[in-house]
Amino acid sequence: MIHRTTPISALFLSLALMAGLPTLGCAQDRQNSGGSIWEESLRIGIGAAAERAAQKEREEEEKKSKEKSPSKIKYLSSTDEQYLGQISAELIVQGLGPLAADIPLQRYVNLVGRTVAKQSERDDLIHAFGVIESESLGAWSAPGGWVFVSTGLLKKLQTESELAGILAGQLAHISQRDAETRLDKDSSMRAAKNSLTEDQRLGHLDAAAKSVANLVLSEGYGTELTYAADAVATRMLASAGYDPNGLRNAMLRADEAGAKRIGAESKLENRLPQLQAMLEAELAGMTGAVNQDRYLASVAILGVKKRSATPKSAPSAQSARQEPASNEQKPTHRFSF
Amino acid sequence: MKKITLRPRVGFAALIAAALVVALPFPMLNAQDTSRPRYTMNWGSSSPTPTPKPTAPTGPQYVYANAASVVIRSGVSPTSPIVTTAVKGDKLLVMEEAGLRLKVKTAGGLVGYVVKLNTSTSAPQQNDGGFGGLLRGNRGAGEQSSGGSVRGLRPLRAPIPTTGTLNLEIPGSDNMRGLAQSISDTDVEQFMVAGGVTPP
Repeated sequence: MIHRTTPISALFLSLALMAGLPTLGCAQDRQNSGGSIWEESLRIGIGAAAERAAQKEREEEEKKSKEKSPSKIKYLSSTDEQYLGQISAELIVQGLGPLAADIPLQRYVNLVGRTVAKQSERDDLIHAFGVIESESLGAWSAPGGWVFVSTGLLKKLQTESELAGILAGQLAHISQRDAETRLDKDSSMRAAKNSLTEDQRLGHLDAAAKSVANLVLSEGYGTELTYAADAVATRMLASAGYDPNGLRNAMLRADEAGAKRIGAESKLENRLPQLQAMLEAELAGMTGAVNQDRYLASVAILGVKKRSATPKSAPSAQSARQEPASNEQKPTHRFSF
Repeated sequence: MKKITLRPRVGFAALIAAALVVALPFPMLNAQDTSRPRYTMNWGSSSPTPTPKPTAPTGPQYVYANAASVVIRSGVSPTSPIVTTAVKGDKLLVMEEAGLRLKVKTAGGLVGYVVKLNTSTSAPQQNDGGFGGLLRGNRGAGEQSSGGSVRGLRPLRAPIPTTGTLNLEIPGSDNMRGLAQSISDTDVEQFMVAGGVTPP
């Protein structure tokens, strides 16, 4: 009896195993080959488990890659940009000095700035211009449309097209979003771009505003972004109807005044030839409004005396090499725009 | 006798084992995980592909141009060619939302993209000079949540007069916003004409 019943039990077992186990090894090969319901059910069960495991693995890999890589979000949203700009603007005003109190002077600079800003690519922004009471020779900007220019620089300029050129340079930094580009690796800026909740984002934006103010007031945008902004600004001037030489002439005026050059981007012997080449290649023969008399009348409160509407020519290579000595003699001026 | 009692036990155990093997896959067949999208198993594919729901444009069907001139471009990029320019109060049919921009159709049938910030869901007042628009709430549909000013920013003060001196007791950025607000697009155009600043 033992010899008869044991094979029966073994037969049950082997039948069951034959129905299920072979699918483990060659499930995919049998996908379209039909088969018993047992075979199908076991195949789906194992497949679903494997699929879920693979999905989980993929999710973990994605999570890890997100954590490792820098911000994939290139720019802030428009609303965040404006929030960052307002906080940065306030810090910049605090760092530079108070606004000049004279309303007509402020209005004039705003009108010139708005004329140029009509040509900006950022037609979604509202541009606000402010004259800072400071003897520094400079112009600065903050994201979202904030532009500042010092009374010290206004005193050195002679024409409206030069002022327009200076403002256009800052508008170019805004339209190109140079502050965000320059601060791409800044931890606060990255955190602001990646924050999911409003509260977190506002906190990071407040911190990022300090980085922006430090960038604008101390570090500068670097040569690459500055040269690019010069080109954009000059095109903007020309399309607005101002003399395309405005920015170039403003640089020469500042140099004549003995501005202390801060940063490689301020080296006119590098900056001017690029601008000059662009003027000759793209804008040769183009003219536009210069408006020296209107400028001098509008900034009369600053006591600017009339001089030639055209500044001296660009500094030669020889004078550029002598430049450090002359800078040391006049340390009170900064050249930053 | 001992041999006879052993035989059914071995057979019964084998039967249970066989039943267990064939019954294992059944729960996977019948279970419905309601937290995941249902999908058809596709051997060798990488992930389940739930059917996406069609996205209909949200918000109003029409918006109004809310700046003196609202540029309508052929694409979402700020450098896309300009299709036409809408003037303040122009009614635009919203075709779809594209981030911070809206794809719109003008009354003349031209189609292009406008910046949401330059539109409003209600007809604007004609004396709103453009700058005040943003700060008074003509923001995009996704940004209309804090009423009265851009989120987190101080509300506007009274416009600044054309003469005199600034009140330097208030924050500098408030003064700058007030100055900008007090200058309308018409002021800028008159300034350009007076100075012979004419775009080529």
